Amino acid sequence: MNGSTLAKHSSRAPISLPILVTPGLTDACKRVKKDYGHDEQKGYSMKGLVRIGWLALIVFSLSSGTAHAANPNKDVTNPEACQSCHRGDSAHPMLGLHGGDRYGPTNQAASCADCHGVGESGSLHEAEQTDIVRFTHMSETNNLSTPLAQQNQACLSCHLGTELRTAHWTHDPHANTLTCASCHQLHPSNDPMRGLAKQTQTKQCVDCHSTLPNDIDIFNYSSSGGSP
Amino acid sequence: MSTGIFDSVQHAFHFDSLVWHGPIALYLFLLGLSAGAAMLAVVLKRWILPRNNETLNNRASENGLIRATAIIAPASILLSLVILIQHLTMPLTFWRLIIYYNFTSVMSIGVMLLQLYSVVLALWMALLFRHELDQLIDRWMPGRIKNIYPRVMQSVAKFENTLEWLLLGIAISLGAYTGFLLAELKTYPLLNNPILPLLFFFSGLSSGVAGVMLLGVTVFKARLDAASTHWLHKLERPVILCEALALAALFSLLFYIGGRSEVAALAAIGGGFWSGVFWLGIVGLGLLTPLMLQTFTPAEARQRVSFVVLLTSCSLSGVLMLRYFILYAGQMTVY
Amino acid sequence: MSCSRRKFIASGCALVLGTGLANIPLVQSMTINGKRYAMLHDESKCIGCTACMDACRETNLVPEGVSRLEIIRSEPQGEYPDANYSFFRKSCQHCDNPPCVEVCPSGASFRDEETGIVDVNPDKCVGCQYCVAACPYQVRFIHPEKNTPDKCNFCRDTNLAQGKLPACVSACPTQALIFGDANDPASAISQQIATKPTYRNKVPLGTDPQLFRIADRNGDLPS
Ligand code: SF4
Ligand code: SF4
Ligand code: SF4
Repeated sequence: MNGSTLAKHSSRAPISLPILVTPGLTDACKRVKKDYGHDEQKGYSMKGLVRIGWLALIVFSLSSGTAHAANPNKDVTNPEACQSCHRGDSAHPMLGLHGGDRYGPTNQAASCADCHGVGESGSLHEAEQTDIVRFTHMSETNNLSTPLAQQNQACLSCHLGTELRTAHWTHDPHANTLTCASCHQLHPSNDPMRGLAKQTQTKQCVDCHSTLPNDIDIFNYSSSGGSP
Repeated sequence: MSTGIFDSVQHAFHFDSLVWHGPIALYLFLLGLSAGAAMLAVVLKRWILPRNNETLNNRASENGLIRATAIIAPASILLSLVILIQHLTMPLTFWRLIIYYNFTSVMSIGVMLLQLYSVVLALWMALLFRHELDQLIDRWMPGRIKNIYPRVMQSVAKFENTLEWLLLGIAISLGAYTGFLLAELKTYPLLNNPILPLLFFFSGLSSGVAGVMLLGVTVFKARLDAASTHWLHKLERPVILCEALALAALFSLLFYIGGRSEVAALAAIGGGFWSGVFWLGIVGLGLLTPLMLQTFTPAEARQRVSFVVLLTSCSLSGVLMLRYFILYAGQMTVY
Repeated sequence: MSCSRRKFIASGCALVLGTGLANIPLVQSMTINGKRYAMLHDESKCIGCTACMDACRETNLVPEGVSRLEIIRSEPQGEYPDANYSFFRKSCQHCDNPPCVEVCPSGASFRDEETGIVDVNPDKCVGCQYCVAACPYQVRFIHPEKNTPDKCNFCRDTNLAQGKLPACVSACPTQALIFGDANDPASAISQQIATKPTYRNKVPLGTDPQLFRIADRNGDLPS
């Protein structure tokens, strides 16, 4: 994070005081309106406004903390905005592995939205959760809220396939069948997958593969929830 | 650059498919030398010396060349056995080789041959140096042995003819054995072929000729103008030619077979450290140089001891390099 | 020598092979007294986890630096995310016509006629390493503590002696390894061999290996 954004946010009002939220709310409305601009063009402006009205009401009536829309600074490109709510806990402090990452030729700080996306409705992921990319372990039911391909695409935009192959060959055969988060944790300061002893690595394979049905064709194995 | 050379030499002596190391090459060389010398010893004594009336008082043991064989044959066989035992992972268990046999094993047959060879060679040499031995026994041994000794010698002497043929036969087998030992290895296409025993037989004989010649004219002062020396000298060229022929046949065969054999042949002589050894050392120094020297040196120069030393050193080192080359380059390529 | 009959049969087969009838099923023709233990590595099921390697090391007390069993992973075939690997089991093939036994000068390397298992008797061994060089599959090594050649013996003295399956077989999470008596037509391994296309390594050398393999779909074998 560069100095100027820090300064900007340090002057932000604490979200626990609803009365101070109001000016922010206007901002939010403006922003949402802007995002719904296509509606306006298609002649749905009233519907959009009604939605905003309802939203504002709900947001206002709920106290702070639960409502993102009430956040005056829900600038999704700024991690601190998200972290004001998504603090995680001591075990998952959010600021670990991907917290301070910089990427690209501009050496830009990675924002939450870079990986999680902004969702179709902009910042309002509370209302439309499914828009947000959620990185999840693949369970046996394979009930992924974000499809496998979409999850992994987010990771692959930085982590190149060639690098993954060099890091460990098992990335290759699992690329289409497992989400990255099935094995990796993204926010702790150290990914438990790193620096595993050889025998523990083997155990990872065994633990999963011995639970697969015996006659399963693992090379054609793909999850039902895996394709969008 | 220097590290490059160092690396390639490192690689020539250390690679994954290498099982048998240098000492085995030395073992095979010494075995071939001993067998070659023993063959020559019998032929010289039975046919060459009598034909030319060279035996003083009918005693072959006076001849310098025979004396050379009598040193080389037993000395190199002893040394080779020491090296072999040293190379075992459990040298102190070598006696098991004499207790347990396996008739499908070339090595086991070799062990039998070696034992037989040692006994026959010892007896034959005792007969050869009977006169000297008589004096030694007379001088140093206690009365009991002095009494038994003549009877023992007499009964051994009855078999002199048989012993000589036996020794010749065993020596020829041993010469080929050195090749069969490696040819048995199905793992390595360069070794697993029928030419190898032939090649090792001829190169063993060639080293025998060179070794006996070298030791005979330098240490035992065999006369260069003697008919026997002349015969040995004349033997050099055909033996070296046979060796060259076997070598050419080996690689032709490998290329004809194709597949992994061709790969092995190319890897051995088509580049790298061992191909250098092959072309410069074995072909250049060991085969071509002696042949050229013999062909183009003026007659009077050929009568010099220094010429013989030069010539025989060339073929001896050629044979030694051949053993190392076959062993190492042979194990480089697997099926 | 008891092996002479086997040699005779083997050379007969080699002769048949040599005369061009290469498709005769050698597998069924080689019946020795009693059992003939064999193994099948289903490469289409193997995931290359190397659990088998670890289990073998642990069960048979194989020191680090040497191994009775290796799973060799091929180079990746294809580009991420559609890359595949093949896995190849490198271990003793328990040849019916084993070169290692043939060359051993003291009879320390032997083939157990009861089970078909090829093993080493350290009490007869001198350590000449002839067998190590003679094994075309290069699976023998000098055990750093025992100083004698060592290799897979189908857990003959460990798990098998206790009536258990070989360690590698029971460790495999995908049941890619099948062990059993190839002389018994009802055994799982015989069934697999009878119903699935299997292959064996370096068959033209006449060793008659008893490690069968089911090729994976990539069909690429390490040489
Ligand atoms: S694979 Fe090698 S060690 Fe095993 S039986 Fe065959 S030749 Fe012998
Ligand atoms: S059968 Fe036993 S000795 Fe052979 S590889 Fe498997 S675990 Fe190792
Ligand atoms: S344990 Fe099974 S799946 Fe894993 S490497 Fe061994 S054979 Fe393959």
